[in-house]
Amino acid sequence: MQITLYRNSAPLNKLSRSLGSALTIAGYLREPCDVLNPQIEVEYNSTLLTYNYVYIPDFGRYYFINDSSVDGKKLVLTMHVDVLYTYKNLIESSQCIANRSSSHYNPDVHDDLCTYENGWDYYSGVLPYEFKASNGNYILSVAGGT
Amino acid sequence: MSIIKTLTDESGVYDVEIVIESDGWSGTPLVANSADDHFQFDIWGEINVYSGGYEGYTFTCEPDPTNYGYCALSSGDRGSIIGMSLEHMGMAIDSDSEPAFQAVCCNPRWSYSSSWGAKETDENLRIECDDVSVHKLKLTINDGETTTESFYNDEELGRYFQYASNVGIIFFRCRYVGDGTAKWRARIKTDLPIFATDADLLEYCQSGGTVTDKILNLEGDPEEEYENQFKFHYVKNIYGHNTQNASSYTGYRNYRFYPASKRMCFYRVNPRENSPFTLRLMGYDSGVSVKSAPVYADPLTDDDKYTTHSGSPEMLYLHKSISFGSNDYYSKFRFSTDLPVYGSESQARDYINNVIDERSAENWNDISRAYSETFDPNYGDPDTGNDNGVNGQSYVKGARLWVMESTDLNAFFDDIFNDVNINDILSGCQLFGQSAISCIMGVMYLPIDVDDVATVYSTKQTIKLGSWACPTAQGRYVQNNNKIIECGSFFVARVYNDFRDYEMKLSLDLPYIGTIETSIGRFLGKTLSIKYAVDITTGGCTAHIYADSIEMESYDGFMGSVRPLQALDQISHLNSVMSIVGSIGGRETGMINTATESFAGVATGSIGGSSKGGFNVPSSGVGLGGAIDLSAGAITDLYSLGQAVKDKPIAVRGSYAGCLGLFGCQKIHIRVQQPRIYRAPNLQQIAGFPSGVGQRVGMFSGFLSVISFQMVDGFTGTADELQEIYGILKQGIYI
Repeated sequence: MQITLYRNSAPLNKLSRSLGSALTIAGYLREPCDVLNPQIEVEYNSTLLTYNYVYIPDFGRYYFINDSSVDGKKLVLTMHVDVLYTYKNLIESSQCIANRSSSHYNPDVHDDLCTYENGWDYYSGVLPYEFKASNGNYILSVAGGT
Repeated sequence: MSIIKTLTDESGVYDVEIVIESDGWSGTPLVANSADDHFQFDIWGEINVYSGGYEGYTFTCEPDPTNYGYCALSSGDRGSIIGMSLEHMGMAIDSDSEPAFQAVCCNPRWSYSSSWGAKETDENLRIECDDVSVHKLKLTINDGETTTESFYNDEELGRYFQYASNVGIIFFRCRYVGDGTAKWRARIKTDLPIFATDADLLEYCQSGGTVTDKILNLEGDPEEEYENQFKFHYVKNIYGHNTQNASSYTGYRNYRFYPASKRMCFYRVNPRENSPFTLRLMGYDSGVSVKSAPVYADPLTDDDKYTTHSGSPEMLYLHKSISFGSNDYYSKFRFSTDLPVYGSESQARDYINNVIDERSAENWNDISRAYSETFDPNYGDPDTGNDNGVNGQSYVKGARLWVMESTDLNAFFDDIFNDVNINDILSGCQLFGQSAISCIMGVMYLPIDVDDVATVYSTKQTIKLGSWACPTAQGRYVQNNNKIIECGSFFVARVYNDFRDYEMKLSLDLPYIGTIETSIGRFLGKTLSIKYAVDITTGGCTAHIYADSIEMESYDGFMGSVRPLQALDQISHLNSVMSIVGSIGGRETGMINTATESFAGVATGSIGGSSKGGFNVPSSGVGLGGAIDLSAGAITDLYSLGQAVKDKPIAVRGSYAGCLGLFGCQKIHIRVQQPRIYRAPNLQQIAGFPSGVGQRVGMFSGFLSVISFQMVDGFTGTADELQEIYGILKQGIYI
């Protein structure tokens, strides 16, 4: 089968990929094959070791190359499906409720990722009115009077 | 302040969007009086170029962190009023080397005539960078394969960046081939007023800085207003840039709910990617049917600011369709509003029908604060606050309250303890009991000027005991106890503008009441004011605490210091003091007892447990373990005790009694205790902030982790893949 090799420089948990130039070569599927974790044999070429990402048209999926092992003149690529990029469009169209977000957030919600240090900072002020104990008055309450 | 500019060159109109954001102008005209006067202009932002052939190139421009842009006037420009014009700001989008537009970040050096801007001198208005060698901007080019950073000219991949080396002009040039879009999002932080055109800047300068209506980054008016049960919403800073005079589009428009309606919102008719898109305003028509209307922007006048739209919703336009011959002409607008904006009519309808709330709006982050800080006027009648009553009782006849100084009080007792007067006193007081003392209902000291809380007769009168007139004693009698003391106010400012503000604690030292700790959330962003009401018959007092004139809390205390006249008074007085002191002591004793019991539990449990484990058959079978368990329980108690102390950084206490309040504070002291909370500066970037927003994944950017996720129809992968997707989204992804 034909497979297309890429050099992916994006982090694994990024929805989009930055794929460099492509290289399409022939490979042989090791059977039995788990579509999500396939192993493919290709003819050994040291240049192939610089690629870390694969698209398999027959499976319609993108894969991370988890391991490359040399077996004589063969290079065995052990891969795992990249579900984010494979289903990128569907994921983007799907509804979700965000737990944390860089773009849509509520600043007044308590954030557990902040660190509480010991101690408090104090600020104080005073209102202008003063109860002047020294200038007070006596109140005499009596019965009578007109 | 933000604007959108549509750029054109000889080959046609290009879909280039330039958004400029500013932190706002301070409002004070800046006059350069010496060559050393500096004015700030920081610019940072990014340029995104999209085309059919490329997924996107990003130019990130940011100031050199140690040498950001300051401008200074040359010595010949002293006395000049200065500002900033954006007329020549733009971006090259043609395929040739020369840019079609230049980005001008401060007054360019082009030829101002001597009449331009110079109010007090005839010198040219001209700004130059004082030392261009340090004003280097960093440029990062990331085309997906390589990242290049440079501090000066850089040519690569058909795009290049140039920093003009001798004038206060910064160029961003982008050679661009092909169809697509380019977006420049720049942020300008400046203390200069910004104008759209040179003409507007000129008018401002020639007026000596008094004509400010063309200033784009002018903050302030209008504010939201409330009237009866209506609630105004604003759509302000509408700015359209096209071939017409842009200034005529700058204005405000406030809207308000219909009486029977609670909700109103915008929605986009066509996707954001389609430019221009149309916004429609949706609301209830007299609470009967949902209607929507296109949004227009007729040239707005002051009369439009607070227009009452009591008719049909069709009046609520913001979109303008102007006919030029046979063609409709559409303008682009950018504005800020506290009305939610939704991406579709169905979402807007869901909002109107209370199916979703404002959190789903595209502009939730912009409007959330406005919602959180306003009262919903639909609950009850509008609360204008400050409806304290007045004690209208008259104290003139029957039982009188006399305001006396100490010399007056001494004279009074001299009168009644004088043997010469005894028969007259008994005669005058016989109606009230067996002795003259029965006529005296109390003597109390109030530590305030009684005129602050009562209307007191202005001149001294002879005091009467029963029907007996004192020969010498005089005082001023109270007419009404009808005043309230306004102690002052202060503004409780938000510090962080996020949840950390609510972690602060607010305590108040209230004279004659005590120290109380209250929820700061009730007062954040509001003016806290305090009033004292004093009952001069009992000496009781109440502190009323308000947030923006709305009473939030009240606390009672005792201000009067009673002077016992009989043994019975003394006993009663003593009991009241003991009662209050006892309650305070009881609280503390309770804590001490609790702690003691905890410690006792540790000791007894440990020893007992060990003893049992060592010498007796343990009934529970745990032996030493029992001791450990008890210790753990005690540790928990100690931890709770410690937490209780930690959570109350200010000790609180209850009311005062007797004369003790006189030794307390005599002014209201406010203390804000701010916890030390550290938030990593890159937290938003790498882990986001708490959200709760529900919408499509594609609407988010940056980091996103989800609480729940619903895959759209059409997914053809396996169950394991779906589970893995959900797992990754819960952990968090970058979009």
